[in-house]
Amino acid sequence: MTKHLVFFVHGMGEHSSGWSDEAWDILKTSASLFSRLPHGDEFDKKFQKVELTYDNVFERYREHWQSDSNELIKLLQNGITPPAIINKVIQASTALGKNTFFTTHLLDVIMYRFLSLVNMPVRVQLAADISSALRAAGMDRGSDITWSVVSHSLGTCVIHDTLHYMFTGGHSEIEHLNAQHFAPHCGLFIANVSRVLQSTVNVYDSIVRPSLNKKLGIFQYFLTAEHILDPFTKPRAFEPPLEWLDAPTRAKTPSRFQQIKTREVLAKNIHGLEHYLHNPKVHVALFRALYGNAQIIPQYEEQSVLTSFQKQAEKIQLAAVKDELVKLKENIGVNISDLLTAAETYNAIVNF
Amino acid sequence: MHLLKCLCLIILTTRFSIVYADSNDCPDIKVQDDILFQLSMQYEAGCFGGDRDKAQISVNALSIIANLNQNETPTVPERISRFKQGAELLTTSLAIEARSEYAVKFNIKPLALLKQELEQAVTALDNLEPVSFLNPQHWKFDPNDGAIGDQFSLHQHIIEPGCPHECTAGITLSVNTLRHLKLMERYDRMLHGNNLVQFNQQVTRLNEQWRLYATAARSQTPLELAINSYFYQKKAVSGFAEPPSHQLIVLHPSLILEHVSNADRGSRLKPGLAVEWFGANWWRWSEGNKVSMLNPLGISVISTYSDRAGSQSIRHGLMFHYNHMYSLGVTHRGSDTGIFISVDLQKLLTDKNNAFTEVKRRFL
Repeated sequence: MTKHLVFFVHGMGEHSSGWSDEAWDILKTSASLFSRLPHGDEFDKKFQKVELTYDNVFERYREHWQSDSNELIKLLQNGITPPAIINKVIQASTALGKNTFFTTHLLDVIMYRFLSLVNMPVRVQLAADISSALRAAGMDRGSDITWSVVSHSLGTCVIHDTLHYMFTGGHSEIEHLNAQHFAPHCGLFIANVSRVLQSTVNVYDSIVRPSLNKKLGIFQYFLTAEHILDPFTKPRAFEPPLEWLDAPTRAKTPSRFQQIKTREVLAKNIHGLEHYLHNPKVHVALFRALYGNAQIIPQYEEQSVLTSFQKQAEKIQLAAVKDELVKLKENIGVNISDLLTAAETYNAIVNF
Repeated sequence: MHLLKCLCLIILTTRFSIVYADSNDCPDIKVQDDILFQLSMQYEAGCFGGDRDKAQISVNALSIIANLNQNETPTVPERISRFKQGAELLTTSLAIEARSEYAVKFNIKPLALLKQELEQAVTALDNLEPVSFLNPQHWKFDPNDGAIGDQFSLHQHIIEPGCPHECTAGITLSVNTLRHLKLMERYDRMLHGNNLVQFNQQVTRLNEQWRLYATAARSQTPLELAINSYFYQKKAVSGFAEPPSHQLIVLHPSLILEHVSNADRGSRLKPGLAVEWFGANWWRWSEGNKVSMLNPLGISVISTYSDRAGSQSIRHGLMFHYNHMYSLGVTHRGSDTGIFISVDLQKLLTDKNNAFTEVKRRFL
């Protein structure tokens, strides 16, 4: 059968090997609720998870700062007084090398957005890992392979930039991939922050969009998912204009671009990848897109699973958290600084 | 109502579990059910041009690409040769399908056009024309509406003309059409496989260069990372690029071991702080398969701060870097000349004492 590689791209924060296991299990369990989808081992024969990580690029620098400043502080304790400006440099290294929510999470966002010596190696590493996985699956030898991407939060921006560079020439110093033959099938962008973190590539002008014409867009299906209480999706929300899709692609049914809005609350961390994937609105849309076939999940099955999920959500008492999240989202601004402030407040509320 | 739903679910589960059963069989398409859905499920399940397909054309066509050398990257001539063999097989088969009674009777064109595109691709390859030989846009299958590329519909142009009286023949032709679409897709990717191989090799090399830039080059403070990023920004504006072959050094503090020959006995060799006010470190990236930084050298203007006999001694001079790791400096103050060495701090992390001993042995 056509083997479908599903690449997972994480958001901000540290992610070690196996970080996507829970998300994968949710998808696998969800598939078992639908009669036409493969179950158990058959699911693993049809789909193959490929986990991507890039936070090691941020950590390389943070580890240097930590070790450098530790040695220098020891020296300064022995009576040496450097100029004030050097003291500030050492203090900055010390502060950024420490493990706090700001340094392990928000600093990832800042470094990726503003430092070209950080965002370039992140993109290069993901492109290397993706292309290696495609080769390993035999895509260059005519194997029956297709691939898709599930990205979350900061990962939506990272994978957007990476895919754009992979499939467009631009000023690239290496030959780009031909979208006619190697383009991904479906992209699921969960809590999409690609616009507010937009840097060198304009998100609405990039090739990372759905199109029947591979010169215009690389995806067959492009899905975004946004929880109504998720504060991260508000600043410069991803809401492309109508002409973002070319006319033939726009005419396709079901729509090649779907904006999924969720409202059910099962846990405090409504921004979490797992919380999103657990919602039938998200995983049903994803499975239909992965198959490129809406009938893979009949409407009555979707409705049945969704009703049951909503009943489950109603039982969960998180009114206070919901109120705080509503207030947070109402007050959030439109800039990257607002995003960072919101992240700190969000962390104080849900402690994620 | 619930009972009805359950019954439907059981029926559907039973019917479609056949597709995913641990079996290589592909069930017959039933005329009375949703034909397009059955076709699309079997297309996904590898029944047409996939690993479950037992049709002779698929077995023959896939055997041509199945034995591509798994250990070595197939060369472009090898790919072209296999493509031509496969194209010959497929065009012959397509010609037969296009002349079938059903196709002729209902004037079904997609098969003839697929054949024509394959023949044009072979001609283009023979003439070494720099074109994308096949255009998947013309024959991409959409399971939702049965569209074949941007011109045809499986339903409208192949199945419907013969139904209800000749549905079975229409289904057979649809199966064969999907089979050829899938085989063409696989051959097309195999032909262009070197694009993926080259991209992977080049981007893997870039990845290694970036790893070395972050781990083997001199460590950068947050300030230096910001400054060097600013100057790199123009290069990174569009597309993948290799890391810089230099680093600007600005306000960089480092640990040193300084020797001042005219200082009081007992405080001649002292640990101290070197502040590199400004400077640069540069190298060349190697060419070829092995990625390395060649001839890394650097220089910076510095001041050193050390505690000698209870008072702070400040001296000024130059610092020279070699191989990112070893630095030698000369300072001057009045008639005193000082010499110092520095080992980049993170290099000390693993074995600080051994590193110092090694450097002292080399330079002092």
